[in-house]
Amino acid sequence: MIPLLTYPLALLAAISLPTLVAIYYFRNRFRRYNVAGLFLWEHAARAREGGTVIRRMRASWLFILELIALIALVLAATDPRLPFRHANRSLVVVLDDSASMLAGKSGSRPRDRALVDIHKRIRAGRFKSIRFIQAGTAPTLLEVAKGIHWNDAELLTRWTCQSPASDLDGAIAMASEVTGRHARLLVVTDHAPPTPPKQGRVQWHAFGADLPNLGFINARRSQTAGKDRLFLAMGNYTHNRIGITVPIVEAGAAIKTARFELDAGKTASATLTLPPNTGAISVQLPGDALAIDNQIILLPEIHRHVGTRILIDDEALDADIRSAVNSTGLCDLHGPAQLLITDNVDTKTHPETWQLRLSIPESPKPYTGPFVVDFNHPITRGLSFDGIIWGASETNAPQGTPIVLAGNVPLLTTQAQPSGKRIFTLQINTSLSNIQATPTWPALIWNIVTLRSNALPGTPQINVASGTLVDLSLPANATVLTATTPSGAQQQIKAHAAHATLQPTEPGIYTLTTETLNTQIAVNLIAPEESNLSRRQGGTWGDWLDPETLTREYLSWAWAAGILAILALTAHTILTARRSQHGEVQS
Amino acid sequence: MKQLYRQQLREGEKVGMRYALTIPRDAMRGATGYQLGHGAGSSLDFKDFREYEMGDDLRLIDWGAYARSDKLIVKLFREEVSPHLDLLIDLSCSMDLPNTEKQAGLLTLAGIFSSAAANAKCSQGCWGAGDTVQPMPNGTQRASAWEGIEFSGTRNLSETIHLTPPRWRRHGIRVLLSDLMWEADPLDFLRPFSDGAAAVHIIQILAREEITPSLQGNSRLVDLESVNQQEVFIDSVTRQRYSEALARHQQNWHQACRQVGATLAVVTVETLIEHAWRLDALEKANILTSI
Repeated sequence: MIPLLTYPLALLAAISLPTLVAIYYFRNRFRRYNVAGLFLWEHAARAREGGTVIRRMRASWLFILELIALIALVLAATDPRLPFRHANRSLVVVLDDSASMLAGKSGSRPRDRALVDIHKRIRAGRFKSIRFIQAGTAPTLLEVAKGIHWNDAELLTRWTCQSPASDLDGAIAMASEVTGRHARLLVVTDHAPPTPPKQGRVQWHAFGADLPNLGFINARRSQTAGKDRLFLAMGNYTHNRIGITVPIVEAGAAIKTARFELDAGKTASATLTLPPNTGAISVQLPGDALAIDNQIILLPEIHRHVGTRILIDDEALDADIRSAVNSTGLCDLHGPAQLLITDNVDTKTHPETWQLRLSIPESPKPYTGPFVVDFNHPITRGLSFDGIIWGASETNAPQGTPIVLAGNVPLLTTQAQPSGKRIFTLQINTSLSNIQATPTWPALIWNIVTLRSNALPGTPQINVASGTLVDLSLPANATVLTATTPSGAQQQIKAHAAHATLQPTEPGIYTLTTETLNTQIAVNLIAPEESNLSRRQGGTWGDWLDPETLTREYLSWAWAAGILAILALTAHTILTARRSQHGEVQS
Repeated sequence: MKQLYRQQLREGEKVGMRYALTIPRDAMRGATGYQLGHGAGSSLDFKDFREYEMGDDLRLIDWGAYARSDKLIVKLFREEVSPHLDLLIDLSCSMDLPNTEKQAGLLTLAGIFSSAAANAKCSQGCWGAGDTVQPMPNGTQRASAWEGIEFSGTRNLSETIHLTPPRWRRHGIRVLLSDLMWEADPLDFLRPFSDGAAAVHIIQILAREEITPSLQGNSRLVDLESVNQQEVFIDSVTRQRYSEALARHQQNWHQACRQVGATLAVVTVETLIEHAWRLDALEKANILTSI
């Protein structure tokens, strides 16, 4: 076992070794000459000890002992340490769950090599326990290990490397909270740390490589003006210019093609119009270093129309409302009422029907501002109140949480019911208002209708990027949402307040069902940072050793080196004394 | 003792067969021995007559002369004397100078003197001067029988001879085989060494490298005995100064030897070897005689 050197800089003292050798080389050689009468030579001049002429060195015992003593002293100065037999440490492994960890050929991908490295660390480190933290978009503690044993297959079912990003900093912070300050942290990833870890608990092992890759970096599908539009963006993260034509496939048949011409390191996009009533489509690139970004699956966008009923006695206001409602394209005036727009507060309606109550003051005043607006509320998104004149009255102030005020006069308020139903109250007298003639009016109505549409069972997020938080509205009586992944696995997600949230990462089509709901979403890896493998690299950063660990877990052997030096020097002294006694001379 | 040393002593013995130790007049003293001394002794060789003195041995009275002259006359015979060689060998570390023939030269010369002494009918005693002066085991016998030669001494001879003063034979011949490479007043050694001796010979044995060193450049000089070291830069000037210092040192010894009546001879081992051990210098100094 190679000892650890506490003060490796002390090895600089080893410069004395070649110095010693040089001394013996330059040291003047004296030929021994036995004489019967030294007194006859007393007149002779003393010779110098050394000179500038290099002479052949003859290794003598004195030289060897001096060498041993010097080496032992240098070694003692470095304070060599060997680990204690018994160590009592925990290891936490932070697993980079981002998609780029699967780049490369099977068996040599960063995840594969990281797994081998983890096994090696466990064998070498004498740990008492190991824990894994999966670092995706949010860190997750994986309970897959018992002591220092775990099953690779079980680990790999969790460590899927399909995340669009990896929050390693968050995972390291979680590791510190979970295991305390004495555990060792091993981060396995495919890139260098932003700043090298300081000496202490963290070792950063990267297994990435700069590999050429071509992948989709964006994909959208939308229904606009009755047309099904497809937007695709591709990134060329290779060193060559690429021209490629990709087929758009529906139900196994190509319905269109898209042509991309990309210079090295550049991106390109294409927009196509799909034929009407096109269902789920897929676009596939040829295989390369990273497979997960080579495929896009998109479902047709579903516009969830809101059953809207308009009961307004005021003819002018009725006309303005109907105009705005019709412009949204989201309202079904003939279906069951899910949104009631009325100026009669006594109108009976279904308990789950949202309401937009219109309050018309009889003695209105024109308010020109300043308007106090809660722009955090979704129905104020995109609204502008510059130049708005709003006819309202203090005495007719509606109840509820204000969203728009003129001074201290509520103009638009909201009331949220426990069931999720909302009642908006809009105070307006169109004879003294110009808002209905501004873009703010249809935008406000559009926001209210969209909010109601989003609250309908299901999700407006049909095509999502992996790792996106998908919020589903569930039917009122639903308690559990069943999510079936593209690979066929099922997850049961509990509903809270008629909502369920999931964060899908596996690319493909998810099927989401309750007793009365059955919908699908398409998940695609849209992560340019993961597709770009040019900044991936391998290496090791950080050291687990710090002074406390050194003291606690390593035994110093400097004393042995010191004793060796003392013995060598003692032998040197004895040998020198003997030689002086017997008249032996160094030569 | 190393077999090599014994071999070298034996070699010296062989060479010494053609030499005899020169016996000085003063060494011809003693009661009984193998040679006729100059004094009156109890040998059978008639020397002279003299008148009887109280205490003379009655057996020495010449009765014929008394009958003729009515005077008591005694006969004098020549004395028999036994000269002795005390050979002191320097066994300090410096005598075993590496990469030279110095040690071989020393033991060969020791063997030569042993043989020469035997040839001159001298008794002998060999002494080793390491850290102390001790009689060499079997030192009274021929050189090849000697034991205990080890070049391990670290003390100079001036200190050693005072530390352990040996009991030399009086009126003997004393020979020192050494390189004389220690820094002290030569008289500190010569006085005790020559005290009571009939003749003192100092043989300085040097290796050629010690006389004309071939060193050059940076050298670490190590004294073999004191283990002191000195790192020096040697060039021609340094070598010249060394030669002058050596000459001065030898001059000091010469003067000291003259003072005590000793003979100093300097031999270069390599030269002796090259000349097949022709000891001209020692003959010239009247220390050895060719036979």
